[in-house]
Amino acid sequence: MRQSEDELAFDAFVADVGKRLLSQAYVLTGSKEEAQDLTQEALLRAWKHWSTIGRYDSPEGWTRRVLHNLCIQSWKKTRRSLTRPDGTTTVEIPEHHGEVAQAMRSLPGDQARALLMHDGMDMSVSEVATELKVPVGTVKSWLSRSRKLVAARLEQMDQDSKGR
Amino acid sequence: MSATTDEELVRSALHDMLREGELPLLPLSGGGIRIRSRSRTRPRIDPKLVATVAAAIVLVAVLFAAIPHRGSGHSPVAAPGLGGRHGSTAYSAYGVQLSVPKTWSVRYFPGCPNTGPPPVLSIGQSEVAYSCPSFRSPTSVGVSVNQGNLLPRDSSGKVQGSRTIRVHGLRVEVATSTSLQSPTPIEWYVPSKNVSITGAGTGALQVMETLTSARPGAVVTPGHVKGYQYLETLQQLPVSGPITVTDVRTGMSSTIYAIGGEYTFSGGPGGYAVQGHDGNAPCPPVTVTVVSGENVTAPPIMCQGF
Repeated sequence: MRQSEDELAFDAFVADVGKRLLSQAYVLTGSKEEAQDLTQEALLRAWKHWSTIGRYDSPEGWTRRVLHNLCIQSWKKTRRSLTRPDGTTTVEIPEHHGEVAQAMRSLPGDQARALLMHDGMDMSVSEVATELKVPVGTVKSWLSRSRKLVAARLEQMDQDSKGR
Repeated sequence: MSATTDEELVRSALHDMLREGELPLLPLSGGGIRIRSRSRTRPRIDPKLVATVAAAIVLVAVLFAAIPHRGSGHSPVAAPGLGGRHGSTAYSAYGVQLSVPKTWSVRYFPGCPNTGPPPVLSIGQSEVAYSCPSFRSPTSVGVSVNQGNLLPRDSSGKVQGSRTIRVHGLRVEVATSTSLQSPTPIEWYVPSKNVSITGAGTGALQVMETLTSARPGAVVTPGHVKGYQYLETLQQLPVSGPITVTDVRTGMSSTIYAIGGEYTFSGGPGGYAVQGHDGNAPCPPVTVTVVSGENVTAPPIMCQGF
């Protein structure tokens, strides 16, 4: 059966951005399985609205926003399910790189997204500001604050693992 | 720490993780996404139609309440089936749970998965399962739950055309069956629990669709113990005879028999003391911890012949 133009364009889009999206979801969730599920979900939504977003300059930006939101929503679910009776939480991520994901999870959602896009994906501050719809100054302040927090956490975890 | 060092540390950690995260667990393709999208498409329901039906139901309910009835005295009883509590029993094994109708029989560690009159729920792979004509799937009506990934693989070790679904929150890999068996087996693997579930025949899929994570209240799968009893003289001689098995937690004992030195028993999870007997020779007891759904080998009972 011949594929429609939309189908061909969407297949090319998935081939182009699929792995990039998957790796971002992995950073934000710390779980390959969850990253795969959420990336599929984001791409499903992209296909559902493809007649519109396929005409955008950057369908990837739209899909990325959906994916990041799905990942951040998943934090809340995990936090809720792992809340102890005393109210404290433990987000145990069994996979490799768990410490990075835990550090990202300790940030507010938008700050984690900004840090991932700027420091991880090498997007410029103005690109991040446009995508998150906030002023450039806000992004700079978020980056500085979140970087300090994540670095401190990574350092702490490194020291803890050496102390064990 | 300086801002530059912070940035370097974070950049390096994120780049490293992004590289690692690019490797998909399952192939990601536009075609696959579109197929999934079709399977998830639900018919749109007209809100006006919903409102009309709801109004009709309310009207009927009001009229019904207004008409006097002769009481029958019967309280409503759920029809027997998988959906209701009546008529089905939940069994847990390896962190998952399935509910089967009460008409189904349940076998733990059966010789082969499809032994016994169908329909049967088989739990736990026996040691001889790999010698069975078709150990992966019941050839008649039934469902089999086993530890490990038993999905059929091609020569390169990849699961044949698997796709992923979610059943009550559990991610399930479904193998595309290439089996020529009749009825065609349905083959699932639950990665988070490392459990394979295979089924075939009438009602098998309905049972498999009750899959959830194990919950309290389900019948827990026992563990299976195998052990040996020897008389230690100049050489080790297998000893046949009675053996007392005591549940350490409850103190309850039962007697089993070793034949040719070998004994087996099944029990709920927990510790058991196993005491051998060989005339006047003392046989120090051994303890064994039974794990639900697993085959355990007990330390040998060594009766002192000197």
